[in-house]
Amino acid sequence: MRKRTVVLSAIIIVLVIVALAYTINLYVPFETAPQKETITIVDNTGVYVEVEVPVERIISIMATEIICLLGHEDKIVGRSLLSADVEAILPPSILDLPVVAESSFSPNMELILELEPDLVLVDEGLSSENRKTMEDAGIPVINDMLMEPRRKIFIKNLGLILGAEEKANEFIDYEEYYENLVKERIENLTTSEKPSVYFEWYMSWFSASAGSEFHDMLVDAGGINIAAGEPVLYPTLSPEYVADENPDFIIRMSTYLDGEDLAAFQTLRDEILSRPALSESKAVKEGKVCVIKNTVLVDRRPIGLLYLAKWFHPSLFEDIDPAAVHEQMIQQFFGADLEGVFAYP
Amino acid sequence: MNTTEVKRLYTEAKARKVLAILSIFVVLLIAVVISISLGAGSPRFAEAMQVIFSKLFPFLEIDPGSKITQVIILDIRLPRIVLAIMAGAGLAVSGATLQGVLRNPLVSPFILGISSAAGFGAALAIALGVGILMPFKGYLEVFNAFIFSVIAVFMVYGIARIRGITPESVILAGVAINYIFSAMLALIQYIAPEHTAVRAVVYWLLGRLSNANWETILLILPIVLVATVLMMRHSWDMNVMSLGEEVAISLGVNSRRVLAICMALGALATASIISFTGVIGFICLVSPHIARMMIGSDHRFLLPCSIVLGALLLLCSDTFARLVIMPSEIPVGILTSLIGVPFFVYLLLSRRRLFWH
Amino acid sequence: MKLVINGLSFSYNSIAALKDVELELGLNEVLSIVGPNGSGKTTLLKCIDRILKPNQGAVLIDGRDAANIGLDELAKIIGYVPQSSTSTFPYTVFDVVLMGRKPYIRWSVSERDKEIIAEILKFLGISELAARYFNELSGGEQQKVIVARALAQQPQILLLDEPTSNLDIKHQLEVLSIIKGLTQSRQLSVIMAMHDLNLASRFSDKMAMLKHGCIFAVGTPKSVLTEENIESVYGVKSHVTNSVLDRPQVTPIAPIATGVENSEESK
Repeated sequence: MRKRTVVLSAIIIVLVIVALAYTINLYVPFETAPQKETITIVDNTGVYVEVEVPVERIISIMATEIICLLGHEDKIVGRSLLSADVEAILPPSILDLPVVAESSFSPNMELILELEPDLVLVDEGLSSENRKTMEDAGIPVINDMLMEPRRKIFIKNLGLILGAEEKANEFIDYEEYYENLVKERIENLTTSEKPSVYFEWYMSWFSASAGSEFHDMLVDAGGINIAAGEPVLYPTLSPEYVADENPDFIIRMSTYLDGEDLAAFQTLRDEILSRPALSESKAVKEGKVCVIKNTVLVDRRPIGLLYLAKWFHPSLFEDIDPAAVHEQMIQQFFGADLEGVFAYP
Repeated sequence: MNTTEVKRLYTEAKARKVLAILSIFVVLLIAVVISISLGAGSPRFAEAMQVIFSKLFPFLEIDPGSKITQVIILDIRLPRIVLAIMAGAGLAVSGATLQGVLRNPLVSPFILGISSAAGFGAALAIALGVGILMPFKGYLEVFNAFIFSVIAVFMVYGIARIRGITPESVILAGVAINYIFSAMLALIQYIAPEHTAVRAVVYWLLGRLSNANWETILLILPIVLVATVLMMRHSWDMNVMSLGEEVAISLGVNSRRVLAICMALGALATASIISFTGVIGFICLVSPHIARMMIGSDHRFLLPCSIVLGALLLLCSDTFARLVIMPSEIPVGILTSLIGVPFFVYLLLSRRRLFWH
Repeated sequence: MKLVINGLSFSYNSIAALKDVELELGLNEVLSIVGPNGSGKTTLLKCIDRILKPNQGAVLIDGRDAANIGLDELAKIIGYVPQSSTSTFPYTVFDVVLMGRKPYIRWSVSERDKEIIAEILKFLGISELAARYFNELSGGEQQKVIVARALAQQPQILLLDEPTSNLDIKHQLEVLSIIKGLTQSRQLSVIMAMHDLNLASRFSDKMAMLKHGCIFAVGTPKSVLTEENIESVYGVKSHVTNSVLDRPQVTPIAPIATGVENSEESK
């Protein structure tokens, strides 16, 4: 008999607590302010986000540089950590802004809420719980990304929200111009005219197969990815296989972890040149080993495309200097001077 | 010593134990007050108390402060504190229970392989978008993690049964299941279609309380509460079982059945917690140990003591984790692992009888 | 309580440990089970208390089959004192004896429980040890504590497995006297598995000698402890005399070298 009392009491206690939780109603709904004009966009997660415009206080856990590019850096009140390359081209006032999140994985909710933003930009690392907390507090959250296929859509959306559609289109057109340029020039190449490429990133023999953004870059630049058909998206290739494929080109992506100065690039390249498995490959013999930084390969895709295309088909791209284009792009859209090494040789 | 003195011995010992538990509880309350007064945002003690009292006693008409303050206190700090207490308590009592029924002060619920299984389930959801059940949107990894934990426990039970449910067979089966799921987890990370997914899985495994909200708590609370109550009901059985299986039977305790039931309860409580928080280790190991040092091995007191100790430990760890490198946070799972290191060194060096002989 | 064992058989996998054992225990009786290593003494005790489940046969307590009596209820009837005792976790002597009250306790320890334990401790002369940790005691002291725990169950039948193997002469006599005394003052019957034939002889009312899992001889110590029996079961030549206490006294002389099987250790 006493057993049942204990179990029953436990159940009753649980029910009481649950009931209390609902009645105390700990959610704090925000008062609705007088209606402003709203713009509704669809973000990468398929959510219809309603943003009241004009937006005055933005927290950019991603796309900080895009907002600056669109001319609205004064609206940013909080940011995430930025890479050195991005910090270099942004106005110094951005660097003074509080860092409210290392990345979308770990936002500091208290700081974010205290800044009272009216728009928060995040990428897919944000947990649904954190998104809910912000949305319950009345803050619109846009979860998107700067890679294709969302890049153009997202930038257009931002332009719409900030009332900077012209600038947004200017930037998109600029990027498209170069993408189309490369596309047209390699359009009529036959397979035999396209070099085979071994692409490596992150660590030795780590490559990328079809379906990855790296593969798409290689193909769009008129190359053939020797790892295209691998079953795993980011395969670790066997050295024998690469040796056997005898690639015409070896492209190695570097990140800030590898070092940012010229010496670092040279070190990476030298290491590949000295690998026994690759010593007999065409790429090494002809010195066609190139190191390119992720900043241009991924973040500033058109520039990366130009670098690759020029390496693969020098005769078709004699008139293009990717470094110069890069410099010009940064000057035109960020008003800053480009510094640093992004590709070698 | 005459009989009155002998009897008083027990009564006094019991009073001391109860006092110890109450003291820790008081420290816990103090920790709660401190935790709610600290954070990256600006609300401090005064503002926090204002908000809480205005909600608890609406008739007193206390000014609760700005909306932001209320949200920070009630929707960010308070759920996190409650989750820390609940998770710490649940993990600790599961650890104490498993140590009791497996007759081994070095085990924890994770010996059943549920941490790898939960990680595997979460990875399946995060990296491949594959799920088993999805009753609520956005909770795919939580339910996956939970279901695979349950599967792991069934597998352990099934394997252990072959030779009979004894501590040895359960532990061995658990080790095997642990390796199976670890391997599968590694495989998923290798074939994951996005490299952010891999990072997300690693992040999930680290264990953090930063995603606490009231919905989470209401989902976990009933399970942990009921499991805890049921585990505590077996306190006497655990006491008797430490004398060995044969003596236990002679005293009327079906030790194999108790082992199976308590194993399931401990795994259930642990799984429901780590499905939300990721793997937070060492609380389930360290709390029962310290509790045993303070209060002895009578499980009627050991379990409640572990509960308050676990809650206190996790709350302090989490508060420290979110304050030490503001505005960034250290995932609390890393911090609790760091606690484990000096603790086990101490165990190694200590020769005191207060542990097993 | 009358205990009747009918046709009890038990095998460890395929090794038969007990074959068709028939035995009766009367009220207030002390029954010793003797026999060489591996003859099945411990196995028999464990089968009686349902620690092991017999393959065949039944243990009847006042006519009821022990298999049908719940473990809880059985624990109020039969107390078991194993040969050696360990505890994974440290407990005080009081705690250990308290565990003997498990069949009666729901959660809290009542005044009566405490009373019973204090009395038993005093009775066995170990009150001073109440606050000491069990694992720190000497072998003899631990043995008394274990007996105390079994007595705390307030059993009507007490099973003891080699209760005196760890004790010095004084403690041996003390413990056995207490047990014998209990059978006379309370409703207690005792079965003890004994190594020491002379102690068994002195303190038992009845003796059963096991050989290879079968009952070889049953009866009073005088009738069971004969030179022929000892030679047959133990393979030892001995000299049996009548001691000053009017009980058979066995003096072993020499093992018989040929023609007798050596029994292996099997448990």
